[in-house]
Amino acid sequence: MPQTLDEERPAVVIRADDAWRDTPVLAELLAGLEEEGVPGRVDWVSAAAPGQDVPAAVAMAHEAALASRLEVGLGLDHSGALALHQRRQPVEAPLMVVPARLVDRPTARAMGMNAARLVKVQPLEILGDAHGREGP
Amino acid sequence: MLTLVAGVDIGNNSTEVALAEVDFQGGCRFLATALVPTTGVKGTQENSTGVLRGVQEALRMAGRRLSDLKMIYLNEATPVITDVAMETLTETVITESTLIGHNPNTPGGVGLGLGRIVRLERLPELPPGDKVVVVIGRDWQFADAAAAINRATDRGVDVQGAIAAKDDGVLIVNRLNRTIPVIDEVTRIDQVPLEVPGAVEVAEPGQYIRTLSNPYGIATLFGLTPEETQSVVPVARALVGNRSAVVIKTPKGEVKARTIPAGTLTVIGRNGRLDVDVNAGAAAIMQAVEKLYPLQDVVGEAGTNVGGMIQRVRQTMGDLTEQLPDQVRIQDVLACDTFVPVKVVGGLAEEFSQENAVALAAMVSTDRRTMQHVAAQVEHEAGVPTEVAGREAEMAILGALTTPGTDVPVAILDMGGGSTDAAVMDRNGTVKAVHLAGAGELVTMLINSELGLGDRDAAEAIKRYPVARSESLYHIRLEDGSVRFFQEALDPRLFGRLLLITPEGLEPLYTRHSLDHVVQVRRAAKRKVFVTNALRALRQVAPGGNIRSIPFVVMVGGSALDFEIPGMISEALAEYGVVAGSGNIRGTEGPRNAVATGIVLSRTKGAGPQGGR
Repeated sequence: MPQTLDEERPAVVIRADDAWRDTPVLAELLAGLEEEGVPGRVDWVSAAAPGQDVPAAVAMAHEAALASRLEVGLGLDHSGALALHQRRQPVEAPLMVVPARLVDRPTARAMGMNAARLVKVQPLEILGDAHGREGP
Repeated sequence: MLTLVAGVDIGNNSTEVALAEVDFQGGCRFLATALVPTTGVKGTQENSTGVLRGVQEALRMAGRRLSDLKMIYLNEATPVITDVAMETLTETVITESTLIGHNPNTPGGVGLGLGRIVRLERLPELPPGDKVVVVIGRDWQFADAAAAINRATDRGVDVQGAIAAKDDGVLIVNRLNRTIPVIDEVTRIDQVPLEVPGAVEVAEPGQYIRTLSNPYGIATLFGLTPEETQSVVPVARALVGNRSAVVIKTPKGEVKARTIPAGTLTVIGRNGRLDVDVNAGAAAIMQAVEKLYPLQDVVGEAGTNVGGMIQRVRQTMGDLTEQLPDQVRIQDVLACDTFVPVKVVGGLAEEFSQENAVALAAMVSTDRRTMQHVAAQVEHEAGVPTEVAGREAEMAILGALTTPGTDVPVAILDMGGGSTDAAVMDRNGTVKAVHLAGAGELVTMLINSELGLGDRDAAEAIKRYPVARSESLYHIRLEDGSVRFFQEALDPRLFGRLLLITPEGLEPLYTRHSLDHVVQVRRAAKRKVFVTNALRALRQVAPGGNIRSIPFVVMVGGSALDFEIPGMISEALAEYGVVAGSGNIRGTEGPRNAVATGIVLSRTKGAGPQGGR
């Protein structure tokens, strides 16, 4: 598929380090987006350049947001840290960051869902907070 | 000679102080005003701590000392206490779990499916042509579940729909060769009955289910008899307005919408008594109250819901007034029709159904001497002579009359937490006062129950503050449609939510209700209580019961500070040609400090109401 066409399609962009190809974490990020009905696209990065002042995942998430026509990006760096970013935010102010040691499948699914909800303007699931779901 | 005195008004929530120099010949100069939280229950000796704190604060602002103070005057407490109660009148009970009618955020697929319910694990055993609805347990990964369903359908098994435990309905459907409706996030998946017929329906986004919310739709699917169809009416009713639902036919299972025998409320007046069936609603109760006013007591039928509700009110009141519950005489009630989202008994996915309910505020008179104890305690602690001044209603009117633009005859409406009090002063200075059940507490209870918050503090906040919705990371839309932008991104906790605009900043509301619904419930609750009570109260104090005969109505007290209640009441009273608005005591204090100011004014020329001009 010509890359230009793919880039024109509105999607949440995930910038992920090559090391995470075919991993459950990456699959869960995409599954989270899919369950919420928002298209996602992965931009692979080999040996991500370390961010100047911010963790690599944060810099990658911001680059992803800049590349996303939906203005929302996820970053998954070599260490496995995850970040959620929005195009208009300063690089150093991501919406959510999960350190590598806390990244597991449910967390990755939740981050994918949150990226979608950021697009849909729906409440985010705050990790470790009971208020993700509501009653009537 | 000028004498330094303090007028103090102890309210349910706050204690207000007016510090002034008076000459006892009509001269009066106000020096300072203080507002502090009331300590302890109003009318108890614990109040003195708050009184002293308020007096000290006013003295400090005026640059005076406690030793300069010659006299403290306390309000004679409004001689009523109030309580609120609510009782659900209907109930939905599911026996043997027959319905799952919930709205997961993202159900999968679309359409209507009907089949025998089987676990996903059993699909390989089933013969081609078998019509089934599969139950997908928590252990299944979405890809594996979809593959299993595809294998079965390829063999000719007719998989009609699915019920899933986790939030992955969309993911499963996206991997199927043929779209089927999938309900997900069913928390108690283990309790879904197996080997019985079940129907699954999912509507398009933005649409509501049509078949399972229609009794005849359910009858058609399951081939029900007319009698059985009648019994599924509550099922259909509970599913109206859902985007997705499951209905399961179990041999003995049934959903019952019970009308709980609410019982009879007996309203007793001086000239007779009336029995009102509580199921007839609030209007019938209020009609009886109006007819028999003034009331001597209100009794609930023993062994019924209303009996229990009235008994609880009596118990609370009895505890507060140190009386036996049987000795408590209820002198006013305000009934409101309301509804409550109640978690369905026996539901599988935390379903809620809207049940009808009645909310009741009740009022009893109390022992008037309680403030004497408080005065004695204050005098003891402060070392300043302390007296109980005249009736609170008169004091409030004297204070209210300092509002620029008012004149006698004038009425005040004091809407607080527990009671709505009204008083009217005619040209001769004669005051007539009335205390009615129902005010801010009842509004909070209505908001709490109708929005299903289960959080009194959140309901209180909704009552007090305008609501807004976060529309992007950088802007919110306020309830009037205007937009506010921010330099920095909203906290992710606030994003996408309804927000309350409080003095401390934006506070999130944890609810799935729409902004319009929250605003509508809030306004309706305020109207049901405050507008109803304002009219009820003014009719009782107005000469000949004619509201038109009162040219000026001044609202004072906490609710007069509300951002929309004064407007609602002004609007309602405009019909009667009455000038109604929030007070502005002494032209500076707003609707606060009326009683404390009135107490001081009443002492400037000895006792007795003199008018404030």
